[in-house]
Amino acid sequence: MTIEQQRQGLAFSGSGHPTDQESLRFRRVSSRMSTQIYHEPNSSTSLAQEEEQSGSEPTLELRNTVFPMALKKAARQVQQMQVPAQFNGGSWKQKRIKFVRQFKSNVREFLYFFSLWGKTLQKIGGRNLVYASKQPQRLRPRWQTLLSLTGNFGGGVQSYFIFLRFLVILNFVSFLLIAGFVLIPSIVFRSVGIKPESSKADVSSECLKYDPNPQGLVVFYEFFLDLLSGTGFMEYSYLFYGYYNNSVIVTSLVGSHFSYNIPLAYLLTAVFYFAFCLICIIVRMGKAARVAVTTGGSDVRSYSMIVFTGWDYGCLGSKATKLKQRNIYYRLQVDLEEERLKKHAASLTLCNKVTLHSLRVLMFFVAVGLIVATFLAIARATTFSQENSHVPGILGLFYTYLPSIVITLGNFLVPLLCDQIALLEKYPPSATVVVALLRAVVLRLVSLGILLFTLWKQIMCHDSRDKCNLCHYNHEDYQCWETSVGQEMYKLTLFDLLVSIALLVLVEFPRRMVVDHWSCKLTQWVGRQEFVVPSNVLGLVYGQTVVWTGALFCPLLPLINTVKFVILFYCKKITLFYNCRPALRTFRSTSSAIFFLAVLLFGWILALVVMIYSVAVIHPSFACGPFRSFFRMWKIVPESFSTLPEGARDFLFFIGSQAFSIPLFAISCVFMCYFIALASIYGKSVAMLRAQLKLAGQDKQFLVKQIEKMKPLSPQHNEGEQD
Amino acid sequence: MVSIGVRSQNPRQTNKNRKELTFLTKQEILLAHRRFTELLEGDERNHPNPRVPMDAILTLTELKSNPFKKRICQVFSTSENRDGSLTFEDFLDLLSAFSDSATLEIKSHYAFRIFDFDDDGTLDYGDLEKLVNCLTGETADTRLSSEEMRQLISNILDESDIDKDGTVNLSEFQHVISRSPDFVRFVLFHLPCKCSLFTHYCYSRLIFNFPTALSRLCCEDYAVEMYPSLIFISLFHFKQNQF
Repeated sequence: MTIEQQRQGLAFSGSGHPTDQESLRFRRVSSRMSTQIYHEPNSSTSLAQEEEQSGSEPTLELRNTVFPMALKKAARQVQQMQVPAQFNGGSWKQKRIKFVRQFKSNVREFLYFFSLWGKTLQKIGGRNLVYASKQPQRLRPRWQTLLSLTGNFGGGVQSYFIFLRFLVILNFVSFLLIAGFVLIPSIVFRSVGIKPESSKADVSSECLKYDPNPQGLVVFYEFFLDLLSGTGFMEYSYLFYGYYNNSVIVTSLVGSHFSYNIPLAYLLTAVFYFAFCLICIIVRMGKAARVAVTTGGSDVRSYSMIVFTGWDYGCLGSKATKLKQRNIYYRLQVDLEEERLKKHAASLTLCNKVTLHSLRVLMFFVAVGLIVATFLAIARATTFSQENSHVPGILGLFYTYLPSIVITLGNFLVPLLCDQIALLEKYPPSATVVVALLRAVVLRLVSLGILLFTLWKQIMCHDSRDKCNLCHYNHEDYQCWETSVGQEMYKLTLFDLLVSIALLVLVEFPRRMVVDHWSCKLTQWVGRQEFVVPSNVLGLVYGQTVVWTGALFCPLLPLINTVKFVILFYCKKITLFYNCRPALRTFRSTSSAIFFLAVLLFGWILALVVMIYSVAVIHPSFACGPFRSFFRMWKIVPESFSTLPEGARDFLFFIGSQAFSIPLFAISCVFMCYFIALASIYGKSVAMLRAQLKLAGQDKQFLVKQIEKMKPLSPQHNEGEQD
Repeated sequence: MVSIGVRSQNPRQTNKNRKELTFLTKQEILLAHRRFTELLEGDERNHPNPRVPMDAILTLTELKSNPFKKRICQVFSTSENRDGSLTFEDFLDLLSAFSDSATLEIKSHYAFRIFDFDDDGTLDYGDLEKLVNCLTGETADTRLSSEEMRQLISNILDESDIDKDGTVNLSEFQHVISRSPDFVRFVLFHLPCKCSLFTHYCYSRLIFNFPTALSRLCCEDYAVEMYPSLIFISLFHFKQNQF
């Protein structure tokens, strides 16, 4: 027993200086331990942190201590002898607290059942979830053994699937919003038989022509073509803007006053949809940022983290253990190499630096040139496709899908070429990843912007002014231009899904079968596929941006996107488990979550610009849609404003006036300054505490040296000090 | 807790004490006892406080391929000659520290002791070198070169050694750990889930063939407690078999 106490004493003291002063420290620590046993062990050198640190919960605190079982039992006996009087009342309180804790853990288990795809996510990433400590232990055994068989793909891959799950839920809830306020009232009014109001403006009958229904007999394969391109029977349906009426229902029957303004509902739902998505993204970003800050700024090469926390103590077989060891070895080597490269780069001569920087500038221009070339190709393809949209048959289908095809090809080829360029640029590996990601992001989102810009150019006839004179938009080519834009977004979404499934079936499965069953040098070099997280996440962001852009013109697009993402989840899961090998270099998950959300926000801003432009600048179609009688889409708001009661109107005017907004702005500035000051103070106090610890360590070493110096001089002094 | 029939107080009270002094549930303690007795030789089972030698502990599947297996046994062992042998209570301490519900402080404390290969209370250069070698594998082609090792350890000390004394002590180690969200992976193994115990209970109730006196007591002990959570158990069983 004494040997263990000594060991624990040394561990407790935390400053194991292996000198003769062990006995001194041991004495001190043993006295501390004995006092702990006889007093309230509510600190145990700051190890116990149970919530109820009252005298009625001594056993739980003992659980948090690091004594062996025999010592804990002795301590417990002493405590029980010490507090017999409290026993009766304490036991009732104890039982109540225990019951509450049990109830809470049961509720948590129940709720865990209903979390979407929770088990799959755990299986993919190991137990790297931030919420892992809250999960019930009883549900995990199966997955732990499965983990050892299938291999752990790491936090980066798991963060992709978590992001995908977030987008699925976001889309589904937005669809519920749109369905509740726009779709269901429209269905109800249409079934009741309310006719659309005719256009109030005096405009020529040319502009009012709109005839989307197919004429006469339709060839059978036209059905599939229409399904894929949103024309024909699909065009005049709830899917697109053109089907919705501008019905304004006001009933003033006796007793009930019911009014519903569909155009207003349509516009405000779109606005609230954008606001809701923005709030969700920002809340999630806040959570991720908090995690990143508490884990200390997500060091790229935090060696201590890798070494101290890198090992997974779960039940791994010997093969998985070797794999894990190789993984850690590779990571350490790469990080050390990167550090050496950095040191080497810092020590370059001036001539080398100049050549390196000029090479980088040149490569930057080459990359920019590639991206601009892609944009020109997309613009040309869009124009061509819009001009030849009336060609029938399969060729017509190909022409309508031409912009999607060019965008997908560009998004595939240009990053490959940029990777080759990056090899010449010789950035450090972490900077290379960031630069590649930025390039890919710019490529994807701006190519979508170019597509939309080209479409808008055609609708507003920037090339040929004469087409737009009559109806303020190109009524010859686009009788209902909003539906055309909606169709374009619908096609992009569908094509994205089809390409993913086609890649899965035609490329990934064959590749795995070839690599597994035919071993030659080429297949060894190509190897099994690796799940590349950044490009997959950019695909998700691109899909979501398309949906946001098209939601105003195609209200059912969030629902289609939900279904698409669900299918994508299962496809990616299948390909991950059957075709991919665990990556040697894992993608960091904490900083990447913020990066993904930032890119998503960027896509949101793009979609917002599009929406503002179409609501505020372009004249709505005369022939279709809920805004057919308005000069601009947003004009509905001032008009319905005038129907509001006096009090509400005055209140809203007040909120919009300067008397309210300037004090509000001032107060939010004050709050922001307060939080910034608070954050900087915390940072400074952390730095100060660190310096203090360093000084305390130096003081301790100085004092120990002094003691050592004085020891041979005066032995009797020594004994006096030890008492 | 209702005790059915006339039994002696001591085993039940011992188990209740153990449950409250560790992070394990009653079922897990029971199953741990079963695994532990499987490791014992026949004649040792009748010993009041049997002690299993380290070689037998290392045959457990969960520990077999763990590079830290010897250190784990040595840390939790309370034997006088520090040979790594474990009593049942040491075994429970081990499981408790590695269980899911153990606090971060407990886990980090024991992790520190496991990494402290020379048991001097700090992680100095030798400890860190042995730690890195365990992590990367002991074979020649997976070891870091001495130059890389030196660079790595100096980086680690730069990051973690706050008072700059050349070693990492417990508080510095805990500081590093607290900033990592990954440390929840410090979990060793999971004993088989509740449902198998439930079927075991039903089976044994039907056939009246209890393997050990202890398990018989424990089954009856929480017979009353299991009825409220019956629904959960059957759901878990169903859900798990579904996949």
